[in-house]
Amino acid sequence: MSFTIQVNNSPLEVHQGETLLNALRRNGIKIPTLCHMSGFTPSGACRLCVVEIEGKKDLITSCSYPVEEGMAVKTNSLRVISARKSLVEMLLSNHPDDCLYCERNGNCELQWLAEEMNITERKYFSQKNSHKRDHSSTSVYRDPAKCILCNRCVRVCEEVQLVTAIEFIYRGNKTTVNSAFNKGLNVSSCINCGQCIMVCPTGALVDIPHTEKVQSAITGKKKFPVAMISPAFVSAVAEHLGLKPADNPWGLIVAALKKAGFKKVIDMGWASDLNIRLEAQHLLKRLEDKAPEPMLSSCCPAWIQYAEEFVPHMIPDIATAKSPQQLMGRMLKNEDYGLQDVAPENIFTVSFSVCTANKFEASREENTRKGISEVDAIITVREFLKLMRSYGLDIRRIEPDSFDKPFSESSTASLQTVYSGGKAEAVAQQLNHLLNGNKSAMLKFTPPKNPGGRKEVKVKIGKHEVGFAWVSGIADVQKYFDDLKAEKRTDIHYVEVMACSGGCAGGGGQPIHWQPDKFRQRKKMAQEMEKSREARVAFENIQMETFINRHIVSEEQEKCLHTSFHKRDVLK
Amino acid sequence: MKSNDHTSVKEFLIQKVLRNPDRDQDPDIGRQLLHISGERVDKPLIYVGTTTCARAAGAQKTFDAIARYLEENHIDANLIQGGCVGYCKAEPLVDVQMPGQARISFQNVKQEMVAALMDEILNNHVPENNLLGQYRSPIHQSWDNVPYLDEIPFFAGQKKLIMANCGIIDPVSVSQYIARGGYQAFVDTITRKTPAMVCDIVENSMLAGRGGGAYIAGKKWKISLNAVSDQKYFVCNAVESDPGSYMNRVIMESDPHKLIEALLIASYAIGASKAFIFTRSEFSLSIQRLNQALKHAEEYGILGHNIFDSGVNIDIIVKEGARAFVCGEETALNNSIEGKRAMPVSKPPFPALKGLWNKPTIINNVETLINVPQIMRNGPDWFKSIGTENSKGTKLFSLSGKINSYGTVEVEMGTSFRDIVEKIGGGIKDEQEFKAIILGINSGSYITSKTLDTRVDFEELKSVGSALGSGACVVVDKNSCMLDLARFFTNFFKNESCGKCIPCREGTARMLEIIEHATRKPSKEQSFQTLERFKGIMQLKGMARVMKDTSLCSLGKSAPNAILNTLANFKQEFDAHVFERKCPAGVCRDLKTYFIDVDACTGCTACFKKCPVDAIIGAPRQPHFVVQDKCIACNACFEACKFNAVIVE
Amino acid sequence: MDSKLTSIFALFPNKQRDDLIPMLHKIQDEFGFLSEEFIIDVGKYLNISINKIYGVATFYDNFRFGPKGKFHIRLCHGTACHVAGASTILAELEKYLRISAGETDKNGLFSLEVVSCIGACGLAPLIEINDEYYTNLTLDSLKSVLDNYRENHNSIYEEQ
Ligand SMILES: Cc1cc2nc3c(=O)[nH]c(=O)nc-3n(C[C@H](O)[C@H](O)[C@H](O)COP(=O)(O)O)c2cc1C
Ligand code: SF4
Ligand code: SF4
Ligand code: SF4
Ligand code: SF4
Ligand code: SF4
Ligand code: SF4
Ligand code: SF4
Ligand code: SF4
Ligand code: FES
Ligand code: FES
Ligand code: FES
Repeated sequence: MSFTIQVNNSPLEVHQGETLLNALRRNGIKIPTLCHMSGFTPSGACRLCVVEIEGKKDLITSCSYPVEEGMAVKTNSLRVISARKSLVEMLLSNHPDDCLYCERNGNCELQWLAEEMNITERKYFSQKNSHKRDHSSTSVYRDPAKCILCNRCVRVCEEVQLVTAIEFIYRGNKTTVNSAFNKGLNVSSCINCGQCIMVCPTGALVDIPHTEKVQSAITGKKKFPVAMISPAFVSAVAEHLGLKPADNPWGLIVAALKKAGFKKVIDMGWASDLNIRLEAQHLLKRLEDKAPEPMLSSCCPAWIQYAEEFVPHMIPDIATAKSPQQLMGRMLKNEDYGLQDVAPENIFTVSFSVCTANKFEASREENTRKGISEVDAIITVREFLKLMRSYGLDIRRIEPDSFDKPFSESSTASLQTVYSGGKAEAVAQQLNHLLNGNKSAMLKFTPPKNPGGRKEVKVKIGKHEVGFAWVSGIADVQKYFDDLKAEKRTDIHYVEVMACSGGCAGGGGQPIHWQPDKFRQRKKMAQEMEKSREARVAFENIQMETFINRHIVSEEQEKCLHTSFHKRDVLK
Repeated sequence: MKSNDHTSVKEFLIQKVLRNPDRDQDPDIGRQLLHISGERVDKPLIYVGTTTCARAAGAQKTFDAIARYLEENHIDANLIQGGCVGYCKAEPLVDVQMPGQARISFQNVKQEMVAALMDEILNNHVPENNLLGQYRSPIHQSWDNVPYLDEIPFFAGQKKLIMANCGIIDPVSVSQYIARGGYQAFVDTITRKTPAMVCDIVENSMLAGRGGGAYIAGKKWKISLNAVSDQKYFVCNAVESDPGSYMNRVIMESDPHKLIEALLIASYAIGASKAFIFTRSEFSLSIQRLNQALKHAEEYGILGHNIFDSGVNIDIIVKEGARAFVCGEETALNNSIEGKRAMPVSKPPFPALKGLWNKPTIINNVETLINVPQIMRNGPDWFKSIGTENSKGTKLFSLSGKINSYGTVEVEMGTSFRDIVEKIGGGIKDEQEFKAIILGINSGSYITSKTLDTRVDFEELKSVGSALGSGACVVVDKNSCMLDLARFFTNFFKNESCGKCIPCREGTARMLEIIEHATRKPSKEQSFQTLERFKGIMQLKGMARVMKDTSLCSLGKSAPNAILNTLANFKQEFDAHVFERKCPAGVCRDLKTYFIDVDACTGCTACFKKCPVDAIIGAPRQPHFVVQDKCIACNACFEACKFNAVIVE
Repeated sequence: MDSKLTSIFALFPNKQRDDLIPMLHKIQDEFGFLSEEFIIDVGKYLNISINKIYGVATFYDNFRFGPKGKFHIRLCHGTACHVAGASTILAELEKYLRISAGETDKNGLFSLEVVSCIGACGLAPLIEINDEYYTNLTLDSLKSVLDNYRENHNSIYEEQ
């Protein structure tokens, strides 16, 4: 039902039950917010969204107030404007003046607000709270001094990721966001998904940077730096910079990294294809063995860590294939078939990724062999964009180059892994190939019609009726598992599990952009890019197929493509 | 019938009293009740008020001494841990009910005085020491030459309705409570009135919330009553977190059954089957007595499932908070009951529709609720006849500070603050000059000598820019510095802010800093700090406005009140600190200047040795000097000097 | 697990979130403070994230994370006590004990806690040492109370 309210003396059409903020924003009226996140229950912490409602003694927060018939609202009265300004000034009074030394300089909601509200002098000279920084995590760096206690990270970590690795600690002016006993994130239950970084309005949560070690590797003489570019990374950069598939974003990135000093730049989609191939094989075996539980995908390191901490009983059902990133590193640093002219210990592999959990994954013991890690550094999209700026490279204006052989090709399937559901389909296609051979028709999922419904598809492949499902965002993942168990389902055989809502398109290493549907735009980009690929299914990646058939011949070598997981004790 | 014959007493009280609407017609019942209530005794009945405040004055020791005395002298008497009549000054208080004689009260009975006192009174002699007064009684012989309690000024100005039982009955005894008319209103209500009728009655009585907001209780109840839900809750807000108020505690310790009865009626009125009494963990005696009372009431079938076959189910649970002032705020309180951090949430939705576990929940203060049984019994018109045009009934105050007679007092709405201070309170201690009454931290408002004639009335207080608050009533004389108090309040709010929203979390901290600038001497007075001090004071009002305008809950909204009201009422004192750098009351230590009177100084070097920062110079047997730049105003020299040579200004 | 802890857990068979604060109260009453181990055990038992539990425990002033002294001093600093000079008493206590409010001294003899309003405002300023009240304090009377505890701590402790 709709009705009209008065906003700044003009009528405005609003819907019964929506919040005032929603109604105002839908109609293009700008209201500043810091704690608001659409899709979450209002927090009411920042008070920046205040407006004046006729007849109310105090200002009210539009983010939590439902529209009421007959209400008259002022969004820009002097009282409102100066209250907002004071709120920001109060925040700044307890904030380090560190913009010049801040990761979020230029991309910080607090900085924007200060600028928008025309704050040009320090209003209050005051004692600032002192805080300990937390460098302990492999992925997330916390600087509580810059935290404005908007509660966004806590809500994401709890409500979307079900991890609750961080929480408000203490009270009042002493409140901080921290883990139990004020210990570092490394001993907490944090799964390194980076979703908290994505929602943080300030520089309080940022990446554990790998930029410097990468820079010294590429400028130093000792190391042979190799860049591995994931398909998700390419689509993220393309989407962020407004590139079209026709602009050849792959080539642009390759060229830029070569200019920056990488000796080789290779396509991690190659390893995505390999990973799909391995999972499909594994799935086939389980189908034949009539495994009672569905097989769970293994390529998302944050999901793996979640499983190890919270649902270790599910570990036996997780695919054993290494993730694309680790497969790629493993390939490159192999004495027999990698970069034969460079010794593995001299190769410096840098994964260009949209995923913060990859930083953790690379540090796992299983992913180190003879003291040599498979992957030496991970550069997130954010770090990459900064790196490019610091090298003065505008990748839109350079001549494209191409990936280095023999890891230069990838199929459509690898791009499908960018978004939730895509990988399940790719695995199904690969399984179809395994069972029905090359000549069979291309298998396509018809996604469920009901958008809020279960993400499941059942297909007949050979003699098997196979159920595929995909879930993303740990809360949804856990709920799906609980439902499967409660309903005693046996018709689902493969579940694609992604820790980030929407899959890697919503990954924790993506450019900061708190829009709930941003991942859809990235997915769209990936799907457009799919069209430009020749190989449509993993097995059509001839380069990969040939390579594997030639080099992976012994059982020993086959084993190198797999990994293992184990129960993990953390403070949870 | 013997009053120690438990089962027959119980049956009698249930069948003949609670379930018998005609109980008042039968004189025989009335006669028996006098025995059960302890008004007619056949052996001495001794009450020792052992509430928290009385214990602080040593009442537990007095109680133990009396128990020992009775045992050692083989005296057959009943000894009861009683409640509190509210006269803190007289604690420990001992009441004795001798057969046939009026009940008599003794004050300040320390343990060592017990034997002498008992020797006399148990032999029907009135001792000279410790006598306070006697109760008026139509059924007993009064003592000769013993004043009546209601003539003592402290009690004379009061109107004891809701505190009627306090300090009089055995707090946990359900039989005494019923015998004095208790639980009858509840049983009559659930058997003869619909919930809607109860809400109407309470609304018509104009009973307003006593927890600070003064919202009409019955109106609020109706919102929940009309909400459709499988589960509703009633919560009694017994946090009493305003430091300086303890009326609710006195009620809970002295008459827990009345609170239980009130809560039962209220729960019935909105259709709640579960009620909570949410209090503080420090109130361990309240918790203990409430739980005991609940157990006894349950034994009588007054609580629980299908109460007296009415089909009504109500459970009451006592919940202990864990200390945070903000727990008094409704939504924070709900979070705390649910086991979460007590951070308030935005309203709407209001708890009356979405409260505990998202179910309709009504929250009322102890004092609000405690009025309900008498309203049910005597009707709304009776209640409306008490008090003023806008404010009905009585109001409890915790009277403390620089006043002669302090304690918990109950006055009719409309009583003037002058009467409270001068008559009930007996004036200012040590004949000092009255300066102000602080009406609780939460309201942050003052009564000054200019407004002392204001009456206890919501509207009238508002008209003088004040607010009733919860009932804390701390009297200060001219030796208190109002800026120091404002600093104390602001510091309190800074520590108690939950930290959720910006204006309150940051605003209280900034305000405190500004006030501290004014009440403290910077180590070295630098020009820019002076500037900061002026600038800060200029900012106070603006900041206060934003805090009031934008804070999420009333804690942040009322945090600036103390400072605003100090600015409004004690401007000169403010200016003296800021401009002259002087504290007129001599409280702000940091603003004091120390120097040595050259003529009086003998050069004994005592101060020289004591000064922690070597701010004193001088040779032995020569006059000493204070180096002002170094002095941190620690007062050590003043304490050390035996010759009164150190002067403080 | 400590058997006393197990018996505390047994009081809460329903394992609800609203059992958390009562449970923490009980543990603190029994052991004097909340240790990391206990918090972890509570988390496992109630199936609540220990980060949440720590967040709750640190929110409320009641909970402490280190042991109390043999003599636990509670000083009231409510309005009435402030007016009666509680700040001076506090400063003196801190000076005498060489600890700040909320701390326990090195020998574990005294710990100091500031509370707001014990509910005996008429007797302000006052402190409570292990359930024993000392009221209408002056600097001198405070000193002699403390001296007495310090000098005779062994016998006083046994008595209590
Ligand atoms: C910070 C804060 C503290 C409060 N403390 C108390 C309290 O200790 N006791 C109380 O009854 N109400 C307190 N209140 C008021 C309650 O939120 C609520 O309005 C009241 O319990 C409603 O009951 P009433 O209508 O019977 O007054 C407090 C409010 C705030 C904002
Ligand atoms: S978080 Fe934002 S406002 Fe704070 S220092 Fe960084 S850029 Fe500046
Ligand atoms: S924004 Fe202003 S302060 Fe910051 S670097 Fe530029 S000129 Fe300097
Ligand atoms: S990285 Fe993920 S799991 Fe870790 S704190 Fe952030 S949101 Fe929680
Ligand atoms: S860390 Fe960032 S997201 Fe989390 S509360 Fe602080 S400012 Fe908000
Ligand atoms: S969904 Fe993708 S981006 Fe997110 S944690 Fe998993 S692998 Fe990383
Ligand atoms: S006003 Fe203060 S107490 Fe209330 S929600 Fe905001 S920070 Fe918390
Ligand atoms: S007040 Fe203290 S610092 Fe100042 S002179 Fe005296 S002893 Fe020294
Ligand atoms: S203690 Fe008094 S008399 Fe002695 S030196 Fe100091 S000021 Fe002079
Ligand atoms: S956006 Fe509304 S309070 Fe923060
Ligand atoms: S003696 Fe009871 S209120 Fe003080
Ligand atoms: S203020 Fe100290 S006992 Fe109330």
